Formats: sequence, structure tokens, C-alpha cells
Amino acid sequence: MQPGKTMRTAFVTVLALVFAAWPWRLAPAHQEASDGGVATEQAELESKLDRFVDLAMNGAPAVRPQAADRLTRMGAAAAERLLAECGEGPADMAHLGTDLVEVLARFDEPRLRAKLWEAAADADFPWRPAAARSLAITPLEREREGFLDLTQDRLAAVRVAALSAVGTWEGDAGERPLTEALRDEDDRVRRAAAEQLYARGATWVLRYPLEELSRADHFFDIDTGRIARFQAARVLRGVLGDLDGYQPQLPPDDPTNLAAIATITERVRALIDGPARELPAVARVGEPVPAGTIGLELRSCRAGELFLQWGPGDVLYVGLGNPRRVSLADGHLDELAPIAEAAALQLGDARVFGEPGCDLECLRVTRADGTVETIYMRKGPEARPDLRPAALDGLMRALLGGLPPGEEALARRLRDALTAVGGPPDDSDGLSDD
Amino acid sequence: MKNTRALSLAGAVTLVAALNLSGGTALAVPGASDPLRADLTLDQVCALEEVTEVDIMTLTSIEWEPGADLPASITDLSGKLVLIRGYMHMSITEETSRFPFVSDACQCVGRLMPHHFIDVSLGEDTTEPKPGQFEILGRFNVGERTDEDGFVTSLYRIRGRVF
Repeated sequence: MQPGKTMRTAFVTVLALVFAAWPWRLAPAHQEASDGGVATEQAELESKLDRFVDLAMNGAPAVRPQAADRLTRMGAAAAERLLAECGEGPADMAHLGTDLVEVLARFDEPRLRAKLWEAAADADFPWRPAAARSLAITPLEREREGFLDLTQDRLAAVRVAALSAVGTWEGDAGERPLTEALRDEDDRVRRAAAEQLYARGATWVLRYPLEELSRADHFFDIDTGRIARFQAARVLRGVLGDLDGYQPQLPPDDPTNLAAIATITERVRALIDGPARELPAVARVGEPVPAGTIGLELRSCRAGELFLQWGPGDVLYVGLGNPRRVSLADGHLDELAPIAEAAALQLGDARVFGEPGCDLECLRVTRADGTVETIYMRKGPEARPDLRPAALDGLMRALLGGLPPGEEALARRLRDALTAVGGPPDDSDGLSDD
Repeated sequence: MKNTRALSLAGAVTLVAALNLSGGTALAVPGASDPLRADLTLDQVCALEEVTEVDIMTLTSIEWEPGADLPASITDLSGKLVLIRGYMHMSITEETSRFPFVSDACQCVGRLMPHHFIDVSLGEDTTEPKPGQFEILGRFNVGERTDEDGFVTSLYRIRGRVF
């Protein structure tokens, strides 16, 4: 910049400042003080917004939801700030994190609500359960179709959220999707549906949590039955109060629990009016599942969850609790076992790949001596098509290729889930047909 | 684990060192008075002090909000030596001496409120991020801890070791 131009720029700037300050020079003293106070308040508000938005996004995990809650009490200013943080679309909005997304609808701001629907409709948005839960707090009449779609979502947590909105609809409009959800493959969805239906006066649905008091299922080292017992006990405690000494942390065949379940059963029977209805197979305590030889635990914040267990007798168990049984070709497990063991050996000591995040692919292989090798592949919302080590490719192809005719839907789902976490498991481009 | 289970509390089972008449595992450890010493087996710990096995879900599945009272079955555990099985929270990505300990392998879908985790401190020790289930043995402490903004940073704490 030339010296002359610099001088002219400085003069213009000073002149502008003088003119800008002039009206304030003329203002009465009390207005000056008042404006100064307003400016200070505004600065304080901005500072608080900065702090709580930062804490809700980057603070300690336990502080994030509390900071997000605090923002909801700061009203319109916080809503405007969060609207700005949302950016142009779901890809921008993802950086808010699950805790801020979870509270957006509580501002009662239509523009934030629109952002939430946009995010909920985007299969790549990593915090869709939080978006759905937020929307479901205050469902609007015109959003019925959207919530009905969400009851069919591939993520169980989204389906649970949608049901709480559906539960507010009167008559058959609400009752039909809730009743359908009692057949859901995921126990959290069935439990949520049962709670909603009970709140609408359907007493027979208490049989769902009652049955779960007797669950003792496992998925390898995960005590899935115990988790279900705790949740079912919570539901029944809300209805019955005291549970006659039932202790969900103890196995259902513990004498204390056997006696408690008998008493609770009588109490539930006394509450049920109307005809008895059968529980679907998926909601019943099934035959024990023998210890698996190979297990795949897939949890993806985009593709949903899938639990598969290849077990003795060439049976594939699909799901948790009372899993669906799929018969495989005779001798298939004998073919798989050496491939799995070789893959585990080829990995050496490495058992953990990637960084912790909302996507998990966990492979379990039971060795001949009974010990279980567990291999974890983990990642956050970003795509990692090379996350799964090449040593596991052959095994994944064998697992997919061994699914029998008639299980195309399961094959597609497995391929999608594997692709979403560890990357495409075979030579396909990882895209399913639908 | 060579121990017997007795005295069932709500969600807690006291582990008592098994009588080892066959002379197998030596329970007495000369010079060891700190039950949290890293080289002790569970039997040896139990020989020094009563260990209470706590189901993490009895802690994390309660209904709670800041300022609310906790059940006596939980507050009674404060100060006790406890053994708890659970998972490291997925927010831990580097070697650490402190981490949230949770009941579920995948914390993909919910908000982590203070009653949903145990704040584990290993003192001088550290651990790599651990993906699967594991046990923590340590001294249990209960009660709200708040930061300068009034946020509750923890409700349950354990100072101990990865077992």
C-alpha cells in the first residue's frame, strides 16, 4: 500500500469513528449507562452461549447433555446460535454431536424442527436416534407420516423414538403401529410398544415384560438376558411397585427369583382383563442357544445392529433373546472353523483396529480349546472402507456365501452392515439393490 | 475365581475368600496390606478385605436427576471394596488413567448422564482403550461431584485397578 493511500484510509476511518460516536455524545447520560448495561448483558449472554455450546459439543461426556439442557433454558438467543451452528444441511449439523441434536426440538423453533427432520431423513446422519427422540417430544399433527416412516427405520433406537410419538395418537391410528411393533425383532422396541399400549389401557401387554423376567440368554460374553431382565423389571415396577423380591441381577432360576416370578405372574394375571393373547416367538423365552463357534456383532449408527451366531449343528442364530434359527448346509461350520482360526492367527496379536466410535464390528471365534478370540473393528461417523484387515476378507466372504437360498434379505442386511463399518466384505461395490 | 458368594444385597454380592484346605493358592501375602496392590489375585484381595461384587446395572439403571436421593442399597456401598464388570466408554481413544465405565458395549444411542457411568481412576497406573468387557476392583465412592458451572461430573467413583 502506498503512503498517501494509507494516510487517506486512516483519515476516513477516524472520520467514520467520529460520526459513529457523535449521536452517543449527544445522548443523555442515563441512556448511555443503560446502553452500556445492555451491551454488558449481551456480552455475558454471548459468553455463556459460547461456553455451553462448547461444553455440549466437546466437554466431558457426562457434562455434554447437561450443558445442552442448560442451553434450552436460554431461549431464543440459544436457538439462534444453534441454528447458525446447524449450517446448511445434515452434514454440517453432524458436528453438533448427539447431545445438542437431542435438545433442538425443545426450543419450539420451527426452523430447528425442520433441520431435525432433514437430519432424521438422511441415512448418513450419525445422530438420527437423537434427532428422532428430539422430534418425538412434541410431535405435530402434520408430522404423522414422518413418524410412521420412522417406526420402520433400520435403527431400533429410531423406532423406539417414533413409537413415543405414535403413542400420542388416539384410536386405531396409534394402536395399529404400536401393536405391530410388539413383533419387532428388537426387545427395546417391543418393550416401548408394550409400555405405550399399557398406558392406553391394554393390560394384556404386561405379559411382554413378565416373560422377560425369565430371560437368561447370552451372546457370547454379553449377558443379554440380564440386561433385558433389568429393563423388564423397570417396566413392571412402574405398574406393580414392589416386585416381591425379584432381583434382575440374579439368574431367573435362582430360588429367590423363581418365587418372585410366580407371585408377579399372579399379580399380572389379576390385572389383565380381556382374552389372553399369545406372545410371538421373538418375544418368548426360547430354548437355550448352544455356545457359538463364530459370532458377528455389528452395531452401526447408520446401518443398525445385527447379531449373528454360527453354532453347532450348522445352525445360524439371527438376533438376540430368542433368535431366529437358520439351517445352513451340512458341514458348513466345519468348513468355516479353520478359515476363522487361520484368519485369527494371521492377525498375530492385533485384535483391535480403528478408533472407538459409533460403529463397531466385532468378530468372535471360538478356538478348539474353547477360548474365544475377539477381534474389534471400530470407527466414528467417517467412512473407513479399509478398516477391516485383509486377513478377515476370506472369512467374511465365506460367512456371506454360506447363507442359504431364501435368506437374500439377511445377506443384503449383513453386507450393508459390514460395508458400513469395516468396508465392503466382497468384490461388490458395497451397495445393496434397494 | 476362588471365592464364595454370600450376603446378597440389592445388586451386590459379597465375595469371601474361599477356605483353601487343599493348600493350593496361598491366600496370605506377607507384607501386603493394600488390597489394591497390582500383583494380588482376587483370592488374596479377599483374604485382606471383604470384596463386594456389584452389578453395574443396579447402579446405572436407576431413575435419577441432579439433587435426587440415591437408594440406600447404593449409598451403603460407599467406602467398600467392590468388583464391577463393564465396558470402557467409547470416548476414550488414548492411554489414560481415568475413564467412564459403563454397562453397555455400544453407547451409540443414548445420552451419558452421571448415573449412567462410574468414574474410574487408576491413580498412577494407566490403561490403553479397552474394547471388551473387563472388571474393575477398587474403592467405591458415591455422591454428586459438581464442577464450577454446577454440572454434575460424576455420581459414582472407583479408585482402583483394572482386574
